[in-house]
Amino acid sequence: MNDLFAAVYENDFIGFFSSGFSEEIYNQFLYQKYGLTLIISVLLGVLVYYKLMDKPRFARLLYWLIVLLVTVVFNFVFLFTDARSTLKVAGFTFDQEYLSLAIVNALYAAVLFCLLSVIVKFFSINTSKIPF
Amino acid sequence: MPKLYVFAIGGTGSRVVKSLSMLLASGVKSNYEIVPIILDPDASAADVARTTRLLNNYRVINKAVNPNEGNSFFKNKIESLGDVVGAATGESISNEFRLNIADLHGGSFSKFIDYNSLDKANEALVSLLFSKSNLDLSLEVGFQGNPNIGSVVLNKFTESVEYLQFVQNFQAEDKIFILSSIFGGTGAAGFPLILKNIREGFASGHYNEHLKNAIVGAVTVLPYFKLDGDSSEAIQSSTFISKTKAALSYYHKNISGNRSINALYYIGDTASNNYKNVIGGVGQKNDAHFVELASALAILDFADEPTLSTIEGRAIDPKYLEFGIDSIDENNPIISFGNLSIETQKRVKLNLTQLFYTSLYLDHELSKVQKHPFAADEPRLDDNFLNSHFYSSLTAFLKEFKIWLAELKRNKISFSPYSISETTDPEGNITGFSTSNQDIFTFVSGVPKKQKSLWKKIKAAGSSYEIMTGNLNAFAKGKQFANAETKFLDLFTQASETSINEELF
Repeated sequence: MNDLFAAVYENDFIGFFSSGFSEEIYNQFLYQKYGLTLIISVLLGVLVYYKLMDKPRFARLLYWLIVLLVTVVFNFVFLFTDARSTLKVAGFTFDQEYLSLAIVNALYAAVLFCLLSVIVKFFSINTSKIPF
Repeated sequence: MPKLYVFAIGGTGSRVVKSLSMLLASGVKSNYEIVPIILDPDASAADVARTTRLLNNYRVINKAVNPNEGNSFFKNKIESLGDVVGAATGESISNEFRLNIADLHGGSFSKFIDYNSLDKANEALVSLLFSKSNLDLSLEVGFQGNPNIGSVVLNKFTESVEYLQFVQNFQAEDKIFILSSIFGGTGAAGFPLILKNIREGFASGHYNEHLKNAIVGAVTVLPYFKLDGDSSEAIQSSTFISKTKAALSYYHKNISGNRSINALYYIGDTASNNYKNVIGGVGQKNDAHFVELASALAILDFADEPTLSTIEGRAIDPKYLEFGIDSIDENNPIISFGNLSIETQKRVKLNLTQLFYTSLYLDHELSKVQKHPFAADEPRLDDNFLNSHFYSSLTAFLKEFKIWLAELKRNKISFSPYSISETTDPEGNITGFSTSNQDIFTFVSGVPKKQKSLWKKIKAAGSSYEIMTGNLNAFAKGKQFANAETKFLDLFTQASETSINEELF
């Protein structure tokens, strides 16, 4: 699974690869950790919006964007802080790389949130017209 | 479906039909197609005009009702006599609810009976029966409290094409109900006359045995209001009681005495309210009254009564009934749902409240929720729908519904089941009502909101209008609708019922 997520995070289009840094992330099995965290957190965010907040008052784009933002920020912050502390403990010192990978993670969270919304919204009663 | 022909005679008849149409619009059902036949010589009477407008709007809305839906607003069909005849025979007669009386085109009573061309003997007889003021009376605005004139003029109706069509199309399973007041002119004259002709079963040489043996009910409304003015007025309420006594004595012999009627309802009230003394025309516009609502309930009670029968034009085991409420506070005589008997509450409480909340929702919320699934999914309840003939008929009807509720509240005795404040124009005519900005589920007088567990509070769609929106979305989910009109009626009927049951009853 680590290989699968590594391929996703390191792809040439919107992924991020930096020799040394990416190898260490891979070796520490962090791609798998961040990938799974990303999927679970986005799924949770989508379910929170479309099931827990499935009420007329929340059927507005604003609330959907808030949940999206919270999910994106969580994934960004989680990867940034976790990768830095994990690799620091292992004795590595990277700088901009954490930020770049965290941005990629946030981007993936946003894309996945939108994709899942399109599917899960059909199971909602009041919020099925959000975001469109 | 069998038909219930409702002869509404005079101003009171029209106002009772108005109350009946409000009940039917709210989803109360009769198991009969209602065919109102409004008989009023005063073509310009405001109360008649309001009722016919209301019925025309009802008819437009009813066409959109899903026939497979068990309960729906406007479910009970209301047709004009012209609709019935047209559907049965293909013939085209007027589809108006108010029928014209032949040869009545204004002018005086003497002109109507062609007094000047009578021979000496008949002229003397007529002069004996009718005073000079009777003969000079203008018929343009009704019979002005003179049943002796009404009985002559209304007899013309039984010679009309419309009455002949009614006689020819009446079926064995159909019923007839006659609405009239006993203390005026038109109704007091018309009721015995119509009944007599029904029992004869004839019209212009055509005989219908079914008509002769029809099950006929009637409500004769006893005095329930007074009129302003002094002894110079053409109609004086001081004569109401004496006229009532005289008419009751006549009915005792010629209606109940000969078993012409299967069910006769007596409804009245101690007249504690004063109406403006207006002799017909556009100015004759009385506030709706609880007695008229009770009379409309009599029609529904009669429709549900299975034990009535007629043999050889005589009623078997006729019934004579009165209407009563359960209780009233003498110091504060206002009727709300809690004052009605359990049977009456069962019949009207939920349905009227559903229509009440629907009308509030359309006024205050619908335009804000057009992107919600129930409105945005096909067929859409969008701007096109809001500009449709159906929706304009519906809003026109609901405007009258709100005026009706506010008038019932303002009148004496006051029927005030909801916490509303009536709004008026500069002349004092009611234009509708306003409500407070509180949760809408606090608006039913004497009925507090249900207490909910914490879990139910969390699960709830929200409060006030959000409850309705949540239920509208829930009922629309995954359902197919033939068109926007059917969808609208189905959704609002179900959502309002569920919302009320969750929050109140």
